Amino acid sequence: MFLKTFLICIVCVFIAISCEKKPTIRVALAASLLPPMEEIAQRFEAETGHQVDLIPAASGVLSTQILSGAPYDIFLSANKIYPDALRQAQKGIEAPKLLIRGKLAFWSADPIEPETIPSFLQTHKGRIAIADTSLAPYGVASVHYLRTQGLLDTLRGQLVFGENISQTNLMIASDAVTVGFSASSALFHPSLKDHGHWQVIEGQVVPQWALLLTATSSSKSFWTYLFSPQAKKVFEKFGYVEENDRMSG
Amino acid sequence: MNFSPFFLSAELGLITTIVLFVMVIPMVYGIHFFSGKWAPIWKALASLPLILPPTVLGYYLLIALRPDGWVAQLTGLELAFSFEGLVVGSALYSLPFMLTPILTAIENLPDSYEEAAFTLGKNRWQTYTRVLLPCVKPSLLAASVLTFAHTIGEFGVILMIGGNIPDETRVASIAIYHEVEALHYATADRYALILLGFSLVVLLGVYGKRLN
Repeated sequence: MFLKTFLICIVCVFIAISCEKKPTIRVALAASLLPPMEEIAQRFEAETGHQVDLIPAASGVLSTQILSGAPYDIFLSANKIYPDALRQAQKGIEAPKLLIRGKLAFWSADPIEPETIPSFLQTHKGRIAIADTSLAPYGVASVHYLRTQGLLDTLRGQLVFGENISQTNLMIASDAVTVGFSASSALFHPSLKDHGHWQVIEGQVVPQWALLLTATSSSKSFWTYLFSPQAKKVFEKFGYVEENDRMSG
Repeated sequence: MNFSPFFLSAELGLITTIVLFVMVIPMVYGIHFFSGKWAPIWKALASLPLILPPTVLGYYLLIALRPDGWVAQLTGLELAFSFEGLVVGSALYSLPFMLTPILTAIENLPDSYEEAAFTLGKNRWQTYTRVLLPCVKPSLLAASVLTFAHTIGEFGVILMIGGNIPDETRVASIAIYHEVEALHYATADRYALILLGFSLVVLLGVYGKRLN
């Protein structure tokens, strides 16, 4: 009797879910972009009544899925090789477009003066969390920073790698490490901003790329919104910058 | 707090368990009575889904199920990124968990059961359904519970072939991962707790129910 009621409930809920389905815009995105994009999507939903689904995963997984026909409308990645590869495979309406630039952030459990980060790292003995250095752009930026400071060889054995930036954030949030490098977007996120101490590292920027995959009117309207001043304002609130010194990017 | 991932997970677990049960009963029949010296090959093949890491298995399933893949060309069905696709993926992924306990239990029954049934004029199918299967009821239950639990906890395959689409392929395990990715650790904790609680209730319900 109980089982029957339970089954009927499941079926009813499933029917209810399938009925309320309306056209939605599906945005596949790199995990680091999720904090600002959640706010941008919410604002867009409030303004237009469209629904935006954010689907975060590793850029490599998302690319494979898009190549296999995944029903995504827009793809956002911090690594240009993925949108470029998709474009070459005839996916995407136009060439990948530069969306915004992210910054590298430094996290430590104890407060450290910004100018003393290199000397602190020089003598640091514990593990240092960074993102994967072969595929995750923030990992590449972290290693680039350590190299320019002449610290890479000293610290190489202490680095621990998250598969992507959210795994690195997880190591930081769980206090599995006392020092880490992440995306500046983490500084502004409720779960992380009051945890330990964050600083933005100037001079290391990570360009974020956008690729439009479908030409429906709803996906185009969100695409336009992504590049609007309103969206820029949200990105800036999360530590992103539109322009940077011409040397980088 | 959105509960649709839990309903999707429960639905996926239930459908996968039923589909696999219906598939595996004739498979065990075939392997037990007709495979002879080829039995080890069938058993080995049925265990292969355990070997590949789930994400890798998911990758190959994605290649097979995508719109221009061979499954679509053969059957005309577009299964990638749909709930139906998840059922196909889960059925393959959980096959060993349904097949192995039932087959092992049937093989461990004394030969005299079959011999007695044959002597009394029953054919193989009658012997299988009326004598052997009723003798291994606990194993049928255990296999179904394992399959259900394994499907509820499934992650890599579903992430790959499902694509984390809300209300369609975002099952509970994917939803937890999604909340972690979104840095919503508190929500992820709540989801995980509900998933564990729900599964515990279901497992207690099944194990606690006395078989006649």
